[in-house]
Amino acid sequence: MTKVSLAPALSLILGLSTLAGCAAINNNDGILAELYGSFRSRRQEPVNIRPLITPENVRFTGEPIIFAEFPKDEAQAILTRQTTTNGRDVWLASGNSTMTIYNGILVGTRGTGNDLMNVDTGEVLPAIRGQRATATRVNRYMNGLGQIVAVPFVCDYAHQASTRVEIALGTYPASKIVESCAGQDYSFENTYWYTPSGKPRKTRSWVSPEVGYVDIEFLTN
Amino acid sequence: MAASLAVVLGAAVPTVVAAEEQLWERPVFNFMGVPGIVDMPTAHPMNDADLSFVVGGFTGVVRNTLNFQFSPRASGLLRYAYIEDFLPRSTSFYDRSFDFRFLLSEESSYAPAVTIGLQDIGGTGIYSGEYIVAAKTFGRWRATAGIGWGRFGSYNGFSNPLGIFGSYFKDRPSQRGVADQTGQLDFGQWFRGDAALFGGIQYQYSDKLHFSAEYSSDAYTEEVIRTGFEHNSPFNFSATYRLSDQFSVKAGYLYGDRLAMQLNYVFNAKTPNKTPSGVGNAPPPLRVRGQQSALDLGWTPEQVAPQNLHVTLSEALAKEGFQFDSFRLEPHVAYLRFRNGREYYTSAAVGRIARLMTQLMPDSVNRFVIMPVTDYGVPVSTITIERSDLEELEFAPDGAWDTFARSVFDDAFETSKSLVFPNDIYPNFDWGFGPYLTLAFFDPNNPLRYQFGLQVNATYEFAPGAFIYGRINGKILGNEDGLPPSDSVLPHVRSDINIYAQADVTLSNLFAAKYWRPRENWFGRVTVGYLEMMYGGISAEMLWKPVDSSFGIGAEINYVQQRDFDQRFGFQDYKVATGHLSFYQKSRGGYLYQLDIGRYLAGDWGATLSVDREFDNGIRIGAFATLTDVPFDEFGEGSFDKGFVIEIPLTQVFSRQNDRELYRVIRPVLRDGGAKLQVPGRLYYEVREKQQPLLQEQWGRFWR
Repeated sequence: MTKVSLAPALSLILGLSTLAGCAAINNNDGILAELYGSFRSRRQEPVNIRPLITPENVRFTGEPIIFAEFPKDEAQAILTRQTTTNGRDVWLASGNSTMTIYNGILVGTRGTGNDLMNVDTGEVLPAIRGQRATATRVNRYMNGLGQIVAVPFVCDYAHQASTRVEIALGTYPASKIVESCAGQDYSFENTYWYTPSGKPRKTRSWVSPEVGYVDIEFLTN
Repeated sequence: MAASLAVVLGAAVPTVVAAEEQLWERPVFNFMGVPGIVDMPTAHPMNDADLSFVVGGFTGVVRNTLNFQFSPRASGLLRYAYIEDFLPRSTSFYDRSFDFRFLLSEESSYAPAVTIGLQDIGGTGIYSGEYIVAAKTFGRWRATAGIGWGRFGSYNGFSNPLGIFGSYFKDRPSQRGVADQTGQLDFGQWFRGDAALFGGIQYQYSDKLHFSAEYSSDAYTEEVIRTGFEHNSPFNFSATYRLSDQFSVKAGYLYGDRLAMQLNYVFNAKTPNKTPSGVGNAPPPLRVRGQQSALDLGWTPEQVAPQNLHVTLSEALAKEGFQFDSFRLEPHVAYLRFRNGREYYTSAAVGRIARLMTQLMPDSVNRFVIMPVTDYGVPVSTITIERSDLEELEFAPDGAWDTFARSVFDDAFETSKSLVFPNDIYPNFDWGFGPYLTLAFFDPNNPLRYQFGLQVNATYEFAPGAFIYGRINGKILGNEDGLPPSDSVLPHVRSDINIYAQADVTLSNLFAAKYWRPRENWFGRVTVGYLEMMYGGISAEMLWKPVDSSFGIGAEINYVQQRDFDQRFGFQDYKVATGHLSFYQKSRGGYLYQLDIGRYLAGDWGATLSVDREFDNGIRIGAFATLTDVPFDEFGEGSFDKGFVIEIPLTQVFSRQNDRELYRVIRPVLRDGGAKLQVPGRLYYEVREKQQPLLQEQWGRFWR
């Protein structure tokens, strides 16, 4: 699920060396390897892993797993739970990127290149639970300077009590919530399907303008 | 199954509102490499922090420009032009020129943007000209009108309207001969002589395609006289097509005579890549005490015996790319010293190390004191973080800022002095091997000088801050040895590069160094040996830089002897004592000022002023100039030492952990006056990276 962008042409214009005129005591290895790595990862064919998700295979893993799909760049990943702190599950993909999920709400990603650094869920969670009609959602992103930038959205919520949702393992009863958020530059629509016991079954969550949406199926809930 | 997948993908159409078509996001470049119409300038600046490379020209002329929008209003430009048949006895003529542009007023609803520009203010004068230009946008149309002097006043000129202020402006003194490339500011010519009007219109057909037409006031007088250029018409036409956010191409028809082509590349230092949060690994998880989560990790931290903690910590840090230095455990406080290793941003390292410590430290430890150590083994600061704050703030909306506000930054001197840290890593041996490439741009005789080869290096650290370093270079390819011999009348302290470059296998460095902390806020260094390509000797430096201050003072004194051209162990006769008093100030707007006053390698006395625009991501672009007591005519071409500096951390190029930097000094010409010794491992840049002001700028990376 990682994307590698072509190293800016500037690096080639300026040359690869760090050494000219520079008095730092440094080696130069690793740079060619980086370039080669970028070259290789751009040529990897995406593999569809959805057919491999069967009840047997899920049972065989013996631990909580989720299945994530990024429609925009057609990437897929199986993630295992790394840790849970303060109700937030941190899910780890094999490429060492993570997604953090709080009661079904995607509250963070790491390693996508345009990460959702953080979400203020103070009003979002009560709204999803039907305790309020609208919510102010503040997503935080890292800009090109490394600064954290808060991006506010105003969201409203539509609840559908009993419906069904299809995931890789089959079709399940679910309650559906659609979160429609509007901001100054972007708008998005997240969808949550919860099991009758209130656990997330499937979600569609917006990460960032560049990454787009991620569809997450909770295979062991 | 297939049907359901199709449903899923069918629903994947993003509901993101597309941004409106961007009109006039950036001005287009003219064929002189500045924001303009076709060959004439316009008033709108580039976006703040845009660094642009423009390569273009027409038959017989190639112009390369490097343009930096230093602030929202001010920009500087270095132009390197090739003109065929310009000189009678030489086919190739390389001309270097420098422009400065300043936006006097921004465009508003009723008023146009107005810019004043000085073209070729320090070069040979063939492009020298001044202009004041205004431009107003009307939807997809943009109109530009201006008045120019010098080159811009050479076609259809009229008596200078500034003449009302005195006859001084009536006549422009003839420019100096082309061969006399002085490099001084030609302010004696500015805005003098005949003036002329120019103007044009531009039409933005789409966000990718622009059309431009203009009336030029440049007669190309010298080109017509000296080369085959014909000036048949003052009207020029061009089209610009944007290939991507960064690349665009331009084609035009100039002066009824020639077709011109140009390639433009724009790099914005504020958005250096498309993946600002990086594609590197996610951080290690944070463990909250008293939660079940510790069991998820497969082991419980209490089981790790204190003596094993050193090893476990060392391995955990290495896995994240950091270098473990030392560790000390008290009942409630854990101290950890580390070096950045592969990580460029110290704040990112501190954030990850703090999380590793939550996993590994016993629950009784409720305070972490994290101490960044320089690559040379000297502790700089202590960052004290309460463990409960980490546990509370990991997912807090303003977690990064809150963590910074609650952390305490101190000088590491007291802690290092009062506490005993076990020796965990010394003595330490390290070595490396790899290719090297040196590049020099815009030489008067050659647009690109380079040397490529292989190098092997080794470091032996016998105690904190004390080490021996050696490096051997083996040249494979290069063209520096083909440079003409030096004509300098000063001691040849730098200009014998062509002879030095003839050596194939050289001892690049071999020196012993000692770094230490004399007292709080103070840093010291002594380096002895073969310091750089051309000099060996002794170098001593002291730096005063408080942990929370943006101001620093340094003093460096060196006694060095010039090395033999073969760069092995021998020396030449030339010896010199050189050194500087340095003042460093980082201003709030991201500008770094450095003033060095002292004695230079040729024994000349003077001062160097550097002004850099520095961005929180580590990119630094600036300019410097040195004036010494060497008279301009003794200095030779260029009159005084000056140049640009570009520094780009490679982590911003690759979006992954990488501690290296692209660092380039671009000098129009390298001469012997105002030349500095290049001692490896100077203190300031190493120390400040681990102090509060820079950590604060980078603190957004703490939870990355």
